[in-house]
Amino acid sequence: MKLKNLSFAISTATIMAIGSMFSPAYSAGKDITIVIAEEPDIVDPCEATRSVVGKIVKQNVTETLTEINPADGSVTPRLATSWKQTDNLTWEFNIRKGIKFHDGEDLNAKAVVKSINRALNPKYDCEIRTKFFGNIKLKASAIGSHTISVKTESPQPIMPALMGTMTIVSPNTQEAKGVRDPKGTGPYLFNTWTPGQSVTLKRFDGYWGDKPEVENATYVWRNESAVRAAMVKTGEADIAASIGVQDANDPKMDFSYFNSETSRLRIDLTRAPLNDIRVRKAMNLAIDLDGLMGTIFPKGVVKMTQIVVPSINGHNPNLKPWPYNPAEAKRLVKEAKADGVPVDKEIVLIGRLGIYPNATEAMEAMHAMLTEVGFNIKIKMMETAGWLDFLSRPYAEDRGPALQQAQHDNNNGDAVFSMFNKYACKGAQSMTCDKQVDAWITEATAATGINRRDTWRKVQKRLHEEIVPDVQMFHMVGFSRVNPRIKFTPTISTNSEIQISQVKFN
Amino acid sequence: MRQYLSKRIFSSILAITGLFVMVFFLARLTGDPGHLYLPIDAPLEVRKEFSEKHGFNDPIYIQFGKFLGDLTDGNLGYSLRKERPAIDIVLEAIPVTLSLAAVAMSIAFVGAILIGSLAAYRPNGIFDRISRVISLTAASAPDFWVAITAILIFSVSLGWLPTSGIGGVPYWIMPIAILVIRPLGLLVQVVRGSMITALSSDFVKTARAKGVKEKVVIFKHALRNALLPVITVAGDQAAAIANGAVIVETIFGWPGIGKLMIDSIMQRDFAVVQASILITAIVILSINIIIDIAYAVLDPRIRHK
Amino acid sequence: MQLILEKNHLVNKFRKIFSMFMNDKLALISIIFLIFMVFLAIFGPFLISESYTKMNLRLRNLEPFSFDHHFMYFLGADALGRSMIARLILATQNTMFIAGSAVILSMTLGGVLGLISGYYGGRTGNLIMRMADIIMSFPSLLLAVIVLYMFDPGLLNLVIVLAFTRMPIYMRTARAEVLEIRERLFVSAAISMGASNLRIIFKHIAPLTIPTLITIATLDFAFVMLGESALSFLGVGIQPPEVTWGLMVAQGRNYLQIAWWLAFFPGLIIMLVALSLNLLSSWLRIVLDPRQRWRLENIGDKSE
Repeated sequence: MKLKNLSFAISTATIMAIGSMFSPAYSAGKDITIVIAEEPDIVDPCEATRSVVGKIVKQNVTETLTEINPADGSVTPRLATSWKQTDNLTWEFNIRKGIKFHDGEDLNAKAVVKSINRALNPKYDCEIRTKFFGNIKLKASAIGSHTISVKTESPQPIMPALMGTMTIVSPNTQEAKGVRDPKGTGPYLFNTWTPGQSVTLKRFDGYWGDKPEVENATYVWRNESAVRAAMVKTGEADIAASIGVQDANDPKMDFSYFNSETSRLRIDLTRAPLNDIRVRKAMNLAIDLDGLMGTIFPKGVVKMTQIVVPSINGHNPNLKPWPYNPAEAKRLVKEAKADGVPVDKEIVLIGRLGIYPNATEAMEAMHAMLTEVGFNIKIKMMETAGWLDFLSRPYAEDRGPALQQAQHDNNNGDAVFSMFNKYACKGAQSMTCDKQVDAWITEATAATGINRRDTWRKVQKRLHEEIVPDVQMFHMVGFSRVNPRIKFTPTISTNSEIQISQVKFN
Repeated sequence: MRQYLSKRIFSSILAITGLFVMVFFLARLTGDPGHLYLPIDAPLEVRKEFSEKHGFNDPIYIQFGKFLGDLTDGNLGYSLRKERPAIDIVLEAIPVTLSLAAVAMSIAFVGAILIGSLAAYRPNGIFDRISRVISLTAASAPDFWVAITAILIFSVSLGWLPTSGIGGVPYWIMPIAILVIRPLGLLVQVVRGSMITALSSDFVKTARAKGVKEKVVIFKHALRNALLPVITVAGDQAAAIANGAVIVETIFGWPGIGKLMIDSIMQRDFAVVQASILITAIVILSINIIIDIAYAVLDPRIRHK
Repeated sequence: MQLILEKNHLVNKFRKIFSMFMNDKLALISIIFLIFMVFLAIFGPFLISESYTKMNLRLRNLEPFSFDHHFMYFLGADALGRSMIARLILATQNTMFIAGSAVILSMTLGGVLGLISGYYGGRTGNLIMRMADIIMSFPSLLLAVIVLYMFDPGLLNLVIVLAFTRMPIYMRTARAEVLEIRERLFVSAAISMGASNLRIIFKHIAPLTIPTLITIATLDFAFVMLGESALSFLGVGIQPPEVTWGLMVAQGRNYLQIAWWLAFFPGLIIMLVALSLNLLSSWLRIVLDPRQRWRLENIGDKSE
């Protein structure tokens, strides 16, 4: 008996001892707590284009030279006050005066150039470079104390938009990627990072702009959407940036927002029977998109006609979504079959678990609807790594016909960030190879103004009507839960950034 | 005893080495980490450059050679994702899981012995039946279901406990309760089973006939012999928790080794996978050694072999 | 005359077993339930009309216990509007096969290895135990991902992964039991009478280890079902539209607040099967132990 008493005493004492070593994260007064889905593995601002990093760092700790207006994709000043293109290959940016970094250094042209060079250093794989500047050879130099010039080897008409991704860090920042206490110019200082538990930001009193209301912000993370939603409900958190549609059942606290994601099934046009346009058209006609809205997909989703969302420059507003016409789909399939197209061949439907809420059900629904009109579909749900193998080049030579569940987001203002990779002959995820599309993509990339916009629109139209490279699904919607004691409205950029300076108290 | 211990430790070290080599080679069969690490939009040249830089394209034996070289410098690998030495990350996560495991297993072990012995005393009696149904229900309930339901009831509706996170005692209650359920359920059954056998054995009958007090019969004679399989199962359950109380860590946001291991496997962060398996293996093998010593302590017949 | 005697003998044996069942009502219910499950596993898919397993988004997440719809929808409908009852029946086959095979495989292999290790000891015994250590330390998820990458996903690979990761507990338990039993008097007696090692292991020692192994196996059945659930959830298990109870539980995870029945009913059935198996194994334990059998027999029964 003694042994049992002893062990019980030891365990209780242990609980107390260990328990008291950790401190909880609660918020009160002018402090808020934000709960996100995962811990950032890194907080280096040169990775700020990754949503898990950007939510904490972007525009809070470090700011970018320009900013993309979420409503219409236009480029507005942030750390740069104005810019102009001096010749075909060169842009000049004027840097705002009188700003200091968190460590006291001045924001000047030299500091900006150093920051740009750091982000684009090929020795380190900053996502700003790999995602946006990968193919661009760029040279930045300081001309004057607060002006920089950016010269590229080929014309880059959207350089101002690209600079919306360029976060500027203090010149004292270490060169190697992996800085754990970033110093920028933003309204908040990076205060603490307790690995595994929380990140805190503290209001910076030397900020150049308006003083924000929130004094301290604590970020915590919980994988489970139900738990994030519960935390806001009980008051343990103030903002749950994104929760699943199933947990967004409180209209007083929950907001839905377009999250700039577009979901589709990419068709492998190179493999029979998918190389026959009748088959591709039939697949689109077979899908009851209305039936999926409000059931498997949330109510606010919008049927897609092209891969970019309406607020992006290059979106063609004149295209109509595919109607639901299973009879016509069956007819097309029969016609193709009569011409010898192997419509009975097994087509693999490659899905990715958790790509969006209800991903598996969505694939089961697609399976059911496609099978209904006569196709032979086999589902293959995979985890991210496996799915990626099928998504990007190089593609397996011996692959069979496949449809791939995919989602793309572009909230950077211009279609150029989507079109090449998805639809050009050499695009990293493209299955399409159409000479006209390629020509227009090249033309639009170098064009400006109305000409640029209209050329993109020509590409969208041709893809939608004459090539049909996708089974088109939806522009997606996300949900946030916000505690009534604060005022915060999610926007199309909420997946990539949460600007604490925009949070106000009720 | 000392000889036994050193032999055991030596063969465990061999086992760990074998495991480590196996993991090194097998993990690299699961694909290119660059794919996962770089953004989808990264151009092909960037990807190729990345693989070159990190040596993912080198033949496996060259990668292994490089790794051994690093090892001699005391470097167990660098996490691709977190830009930190893998061993640091793992050593931060392990105490969290270990404390969860230790507390949960203590409660489960003690509870199981009490409940299981009482049930075995009158097999098929009322207490036995009730405890059996409850413990079986507990042992086969899906943990995430229990966890989320518990949060919804005790945090959201009743407001008695915090939803999640690490902190003082209230933060421990739900995670521990959920971790205790399955081992408790299983161990109650095992204790009951072996106690029934022990209580009907000859030496117990003799003890009773000799007039030994019932309490002594149960705890001194029967329990001692019944404990061998119980300890084995308890050890297996402790190892299972150490290997990843994943669901609890994920749902309640505790940064333990289970979640770390799953995430690093899904992200193909090989250095962290290797380091976490290594540390977990050391923990599990240590538990097994302790159990083997417990056998010898409990059963003199084994001790004198 | 001989034939009649033998027939009577068989009938009497059957009667005896039947009466032992009648004396433990819980075990009786369990075996009936399990036989029903096996029946569903084999014949279930043929008995359900296809319409109940077809997607019907209008019935999505239909609540259970309503009398407005066909009785097949009494337990509600899942996220795609398919009848829960129909899906549960369909899943029986896959679940029973996967969990059953995995458990039998791991118990047999693990048990034999544990027996050998415990009895012979020495280098072989040590090697086997270190193997158990290694398997215990190898995360099952990594193994599943690796197997998946090298081979195509499928039922068989899933069974192998699940069986492999559960082997150590049987290995270690069997060994622990053998260590203890080996020292008993009757074993020394058998050895001194010249019985061969194999005979001793399989005729004398093994039967004594089986009760504990079976106790563990019956509970392991539930763990394997839930383990398969976790693997399927992470994408390395069963592929839709194939279904197991475990997959239904995993898919119901997101709906706990608005459609609790999606995860509840498959979870409930897993529990009931585990419970039945365990009650049955308890009964078996008593039946097989000559010293305990009296609890189930009708003492003083004249029909002996």
